[in-house]
Amino acid sequence: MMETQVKEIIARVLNVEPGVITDNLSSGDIPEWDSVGNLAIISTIEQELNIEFPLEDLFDLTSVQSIVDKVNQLTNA
Amino acid sequence: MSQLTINNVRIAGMSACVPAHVEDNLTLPIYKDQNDALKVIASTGIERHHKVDPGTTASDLTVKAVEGLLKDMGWQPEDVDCLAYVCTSRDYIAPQTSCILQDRLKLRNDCCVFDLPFGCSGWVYGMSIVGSLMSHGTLKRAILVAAETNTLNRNPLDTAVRPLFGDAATATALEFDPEHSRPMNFMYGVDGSGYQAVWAPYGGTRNPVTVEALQEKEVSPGVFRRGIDMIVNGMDVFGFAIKRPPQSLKDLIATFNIDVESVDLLLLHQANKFIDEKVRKAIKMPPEKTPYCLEEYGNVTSASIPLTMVSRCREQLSGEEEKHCIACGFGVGLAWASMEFYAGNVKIGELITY
Repeated sequence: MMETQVKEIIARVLNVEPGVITDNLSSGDIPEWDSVGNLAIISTIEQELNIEFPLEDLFDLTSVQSIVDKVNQLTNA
Repeated sequence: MSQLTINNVRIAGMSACVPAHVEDNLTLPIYKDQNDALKVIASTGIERHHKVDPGTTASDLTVKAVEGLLKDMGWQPEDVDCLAYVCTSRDYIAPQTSCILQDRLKLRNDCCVFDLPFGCSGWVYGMSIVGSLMSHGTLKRAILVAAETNTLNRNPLDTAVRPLFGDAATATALEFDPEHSRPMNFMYGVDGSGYQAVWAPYGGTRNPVTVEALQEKEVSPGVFRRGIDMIVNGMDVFGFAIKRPPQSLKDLIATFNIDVESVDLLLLHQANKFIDEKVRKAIKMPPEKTPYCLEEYGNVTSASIPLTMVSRCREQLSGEEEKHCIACGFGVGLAWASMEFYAGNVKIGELITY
């Protein structure tokens, strides 16, 4: 399961304390997670975990939970 | 689906002009620290952009670009039958800027000139409009300008836009040439329900300029705007950009039976590298056939496709052998358009700085 790794990346990309990245955190909940932040999260996860999010899923990847779920799905496939 | 095929018209020349002043994203004074800047650069691919100095307009850049094009083409101003000005950064509310350009460029008084206030889809729309007019055969030589001064209508304290957008003017020379031309094919798209994804709320007739609209406000931490400034709602744009452009290109390919393997160049609106790469992969185009100039110039809206052609494809497009190209412009409106065309023997000068 990639949950810890994904949360660590999100915290690092957004430059916030790891404790801020809770399961129910979404884009817009904190100032650091704006549209540019969201793009940075997705692109960094793709790069560091060597995965590629499908085009049709990208728009839904706007919360910690949705990103963790999709990463788990892609890495278990 | 609305589609169009134009015959008897070819791209004969291209030019581009950018301001000399460069802003590097790494050193922009709007970030808490350099990590924030690096994050933007890494996720968008945009390292810097060119910015006009106060007092310089898109039409000033345009005059330089058109003068360079006329020289390269060996055309006199009186040879030009039509000039279309794709731009939203108009000089005045009235008249349309193309009228002023007719005088500044010494074009004929019976020249057909008009403004086309498109954003990022503008070069493709402009090609279809000017090409269509020319295909009748009476307008022999035309210039399609795609220009924008994005830095003048976006707030410099808006961290969501300042690192991404730049200024540029481009000029494309079109000739009526039944002997040496091949069909140009177009597909169109629009979704006006998304007009607030990229918009300037104040300054038009719906919301006229008020004292309040001129006052800068902190709309979210670290993001300042006036009512007259352009707003870019990044998440809405992202959702649009990953959905419409790939489908538009797929529709173009299917409708006109395009063999993707025969395509030499995929020319995308330079929105940001992450989105453009998703579009490229969606139509299975190899990276070496997809040029970018956004790292150097940022998003220059309607000028981005022709600026990519001038700054990155000069050698390929000026050669004897025709290149098979597909292009997609997408953005403000929300509007998008895709096209297929062939280009060879295109006279492309050195990039001009203002």
